[in-house]
Amino acid sequence: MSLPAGRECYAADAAPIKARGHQLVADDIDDAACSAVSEVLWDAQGKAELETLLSEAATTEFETDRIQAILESDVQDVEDWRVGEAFAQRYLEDHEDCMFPWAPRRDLKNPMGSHPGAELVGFRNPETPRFAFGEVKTSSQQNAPPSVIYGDDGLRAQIKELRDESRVTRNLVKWLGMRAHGASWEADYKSAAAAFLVNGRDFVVFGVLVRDVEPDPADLSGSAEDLASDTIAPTVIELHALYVPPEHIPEFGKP
Amino acid sequence: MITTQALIEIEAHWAIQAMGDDAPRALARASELHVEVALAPVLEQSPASADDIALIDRVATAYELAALDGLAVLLRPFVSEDEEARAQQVRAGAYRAFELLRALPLPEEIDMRVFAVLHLAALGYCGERWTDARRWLTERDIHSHLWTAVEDTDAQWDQHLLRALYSCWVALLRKEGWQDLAAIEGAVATLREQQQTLETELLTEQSPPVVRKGVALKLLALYHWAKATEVLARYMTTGRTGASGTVQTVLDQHFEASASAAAASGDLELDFLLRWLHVAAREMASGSLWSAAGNAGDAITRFIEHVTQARGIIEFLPPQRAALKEQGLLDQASRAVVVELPTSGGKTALAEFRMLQALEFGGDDAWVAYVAPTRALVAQVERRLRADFSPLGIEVAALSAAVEVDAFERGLLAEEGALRRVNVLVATPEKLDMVIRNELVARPLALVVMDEAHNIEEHDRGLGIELLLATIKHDSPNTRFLLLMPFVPNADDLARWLAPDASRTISLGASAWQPNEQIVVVYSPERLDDAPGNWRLRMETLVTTRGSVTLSGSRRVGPDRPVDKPYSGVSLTATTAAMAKVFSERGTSIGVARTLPDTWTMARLVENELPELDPVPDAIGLVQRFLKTEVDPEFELVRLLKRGIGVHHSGLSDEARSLIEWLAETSELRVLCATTGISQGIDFPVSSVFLATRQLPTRPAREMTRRAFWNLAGRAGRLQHDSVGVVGLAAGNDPAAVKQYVVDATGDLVSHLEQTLKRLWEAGTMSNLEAVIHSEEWASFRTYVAHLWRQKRELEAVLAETEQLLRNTLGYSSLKSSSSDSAQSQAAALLEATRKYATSLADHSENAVLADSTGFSPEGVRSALLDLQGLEDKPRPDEWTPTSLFSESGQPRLAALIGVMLRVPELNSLGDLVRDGEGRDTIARIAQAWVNGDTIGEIAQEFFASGHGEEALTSAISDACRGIYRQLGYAGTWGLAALSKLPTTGIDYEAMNEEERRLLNQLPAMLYHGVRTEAGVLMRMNSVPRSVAEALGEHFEEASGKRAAETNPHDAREFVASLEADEWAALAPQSSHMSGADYRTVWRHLSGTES
Repeated sequence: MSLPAGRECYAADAAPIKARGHQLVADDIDDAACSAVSEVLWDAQGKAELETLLSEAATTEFETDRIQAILESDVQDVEDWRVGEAFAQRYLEDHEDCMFPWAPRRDLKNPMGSHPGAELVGFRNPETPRFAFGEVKTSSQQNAPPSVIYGDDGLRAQIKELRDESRVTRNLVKWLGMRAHGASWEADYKSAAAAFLVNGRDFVVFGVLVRDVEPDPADLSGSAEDLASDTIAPTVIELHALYVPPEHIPEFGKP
Repeated sequence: MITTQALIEIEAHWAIQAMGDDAPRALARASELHVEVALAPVLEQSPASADDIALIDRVATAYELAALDGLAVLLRPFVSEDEEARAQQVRAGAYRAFELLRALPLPEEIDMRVFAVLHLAALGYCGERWTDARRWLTERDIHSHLWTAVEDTDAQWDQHLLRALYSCWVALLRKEGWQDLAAIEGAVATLREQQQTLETELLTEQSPPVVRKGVALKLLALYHWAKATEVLARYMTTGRTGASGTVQTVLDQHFEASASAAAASGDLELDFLLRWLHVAAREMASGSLWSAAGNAGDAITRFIEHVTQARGIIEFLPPQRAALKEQGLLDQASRAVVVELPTSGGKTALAEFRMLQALEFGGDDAWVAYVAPTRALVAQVERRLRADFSPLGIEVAALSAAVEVDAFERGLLAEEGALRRVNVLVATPEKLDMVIRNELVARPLALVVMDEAHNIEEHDRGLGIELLLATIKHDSPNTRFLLLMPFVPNADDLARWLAPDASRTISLGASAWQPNEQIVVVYSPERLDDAPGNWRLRMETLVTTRGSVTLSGSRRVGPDRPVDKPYSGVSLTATTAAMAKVFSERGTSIGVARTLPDTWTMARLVENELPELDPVPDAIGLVQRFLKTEVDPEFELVRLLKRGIGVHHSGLSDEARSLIEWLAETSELRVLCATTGISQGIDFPVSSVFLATRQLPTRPAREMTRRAFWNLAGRAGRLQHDSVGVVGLAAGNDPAAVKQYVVDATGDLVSHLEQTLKRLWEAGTMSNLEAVIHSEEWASFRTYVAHLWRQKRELEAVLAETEQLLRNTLGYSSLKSSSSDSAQSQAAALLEATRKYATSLADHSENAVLADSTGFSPEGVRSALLDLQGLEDKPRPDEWTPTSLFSESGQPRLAALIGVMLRVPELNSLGDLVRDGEGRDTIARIAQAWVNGDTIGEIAQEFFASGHGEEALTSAISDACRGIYRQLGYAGTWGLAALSKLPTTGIDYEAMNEEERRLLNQLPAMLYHGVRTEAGVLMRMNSVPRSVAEALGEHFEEASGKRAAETNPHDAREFVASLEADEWAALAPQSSHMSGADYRTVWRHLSGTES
């Protein structure tokens, strides 16, 4: 099952940054589309892993009652931002030739933001694979652009960190490398890593904004211009705004 | 174990290929930075630029990716042969990534630093470089205030856990002894106590449930890590895990859970680190001493318990681990094991394991012989083995280097009572040869350990060593062999020689592991034009066969005019003195001079440049007082020591050399000036070694073999302290020859017997072999044949076994196994000549029999027999007593005996003792003065002085020491013992009582030890300084109520050990410069007794 591509509703490119809006209408959001996102969001394997972890917790000989209680409690209300991340991952995989082996459990979020990373870690382009790192923000704010673009944790800062901090990308590459041997995507990894080793700037960064408001190029145009000045080839940065009808985000979040 | 080949093959990995020329560039630059930092006070620096850092970082990532590409192979219980290449790749990648990253600066921010340190250390482990990682921790000062992080709970709970675990891991990595590791369990227990309050605080702060979940998962990751850390520390210290399952499975469980909880919490960096630490933890556990316990037997388990706790040795060095766990050192089926191990690879510990096994499985009576090439090494090994084995109830004893076995030694060897039975005997090859040929130990010899076995190719003693092993092989078919040697490509040949069907070669020479990095440099003085006579040192690093680090270009070293000589007067000695002095800033430097007098010249040059030590360290003060007492109050070395300068050569007593070595080993010395002889005696590391020459002080001079050179060079760099050891060779007139010398490969080891035959063959004089066999060089060969004669006593039986006798030698068996015609001809000629020689022995078979008991060749026996027969002044049978022979009136008798000795070929070195033709009288007087208690200084002044002033005294003392310890102590005692056994002395042993026989037997020992009483001999055997030995012996007799003859070395030793400082003081002579406490400390050191 895959997500519909929707309609490209605007281009706000500022060379070399590509910035596009894609609009999905209510008809696009059928059961198949919801399932595609929910597969990512409600990762069955992850749930099984968690159960194993809980069963072994006591062997640490630390008190684990409090932790167990927290981990066993059901989180019913799925926040929009978690849905947004799953939606973005699925969209990039289905329509931007991406593949993200890193499947974070989105019902969990580590708030101690001191450890840099990316929300999506994988590859783009099966022909000449490159590493693809993605950051996702979800907002229902009517303002364009919404406030999640700004600030230290905002989309723009996150993209810049991936673009400029070689330590961050290098750690992500090594982290994937630890899992690459024998994986289905090992060949992609080798190609992407070889290119990355030759030039540590050879990768793609996706910035994805998930919106349930009317499309507006202002969501992306300012960021595209801001990022354009210091983005040097071969680094590729693409911004995508995915627009769904109002109130539709939670639809995707149903298990 | 990671091989040098793996380091070559890793270059073909896709990740490294992607780097192109950047990879070698980055490695070279990283090495350069590493060396420069290590040699900072001495060497010009070229600090890292931002570009350097980026390059190194990028290339390090490539090597790390190569390591990650299949990392899981190191987590499997067994690595199959198919997977071995992958495992090598992983290790090689980690090896290089470590090498690169350690050169970079550490991040300042604390949590980033924690990750960087642990990541690097884990890479080091995986690349089998934990010793490098440990040094790196020290150098970056990551040691200090380790445990405060555990007490300080200001940080948030998760951060606090991370920092506390970091402290635990630094302790695991630095391994500063058992206590340090044992503290880890306490630290984890503290964390469990702190959890109650700190965890609640953290969790209640996090309000959205989803955020709380993330935090909870991260905590779970940290708890599993803490548990794994606790298990690892417990295992490393006690061999137990406290959980069910092997240490590996318990570690697997907690690390896997920890990493997956970290990944689930979204903390990729923690996940990544934990996976590296998982591998490192498994590596550490599998290198633990306990991992060798298994089914190895009780003795080994108790040994491990002792050395981990008392000596703080927790983990095997990578070559040790490979030898024990991968290459079957303890394989019971192998009768001969040859271990080829790099210098400083920890061979003594390996020998200890094999010895314990041999004792355990050899039955209650079994004994083990450990053969070391020099007296100094015998003493060192004895000290080490005694310290390690005594707590296990294993009795270790060393025999003196005198060829003769004295009465106490005979008693020691014959001891049958379980309590004092010697289990391990340490001796020189010549001494053990005597013990074996005369069957002095009736119990079964389970194992012979031959240290520095490459000496089998050595010019003077090689044949003797080869024939000793051949004799053991022949006489004692159940004895096992362990040969230890460095850099021998054909180690297999030796193993097969000793046990063709049951041999094992453990060859680690091709491994990439090094005790530390080394640079090998050629150095020379460079003239400076700014002032008349001015100069400075310049050095250039060399490419070598041993993977030394090279630096670009030639480098200036040290200040202008580093020693006070004008450029025109700078000799090789002065240049070497200057290098040693300049590099002494980093730690002890050895300067190797061409001759013994040159060592003094070198020491004096350095003396002018170094300030006095202030305060003089206790250990140096102690050695100064020892030298004043035992040698001479005015001895120049006493003054040199004030500035931290020592000398080491044959012109010192064993005890003095041993104390000087101790000072060098404990880094109290700045500069040690030595002769090339030190290459045979040094078994401890120093910071730097500089050679003025590659020539050995032999006549005629011979070049040091490559093997001996690399063995000596291997001592440069202290495993725990120096990242970079420095080895230097003076350029002299022919720098090209120096450069060639270090790139030439160390060749195959060829037995001296084979070399000699080859020489004859090439000279076309093979037909003359029959006559050549009678030359001095072949004396030990003749003794070897005579030994068969004594056993068979019948010509036919001897002839029937001659071939087998020869086959037992390495030389003959190697010729026989060669396909070349010339080798076959040489073998045939040797067989023929040996048969003829054996036949000739039939004429005087009694000489052959006496050859075993005297150690002479049959011809030596014959010469002495005849000489004694017609000797006018020879002592009457009742004059073979100390009071007679060593008294003034007995002097003509002793001189007459010495005259006989001088004509025995084996003893002709005795003649070197004096310069003139009137040798025998002077030698006799020196011997008497020595036995009667004259100090070295007094003997030097009376017999060796040739001028006035300090330098003349120094030279006389050097000559006196050589004369007493070498000529008199070796040839003199051997001669005296051998002559006393010959029937033509007129001594009728049957008619003598026990007491008289004992006293006669002790004469050579008195000469050897320089005392005139039996009790004195007993004390000297137990390392009591000569100045107090007789008095102490008397005191022992009084205290025990027995005469020395009725006691034994073991009881004497216990008595000496029980003495308090004031008792020592009461026995010291008036003139002594040593306090009672001084004597006690010196004794403890010399005897290897733990204080």
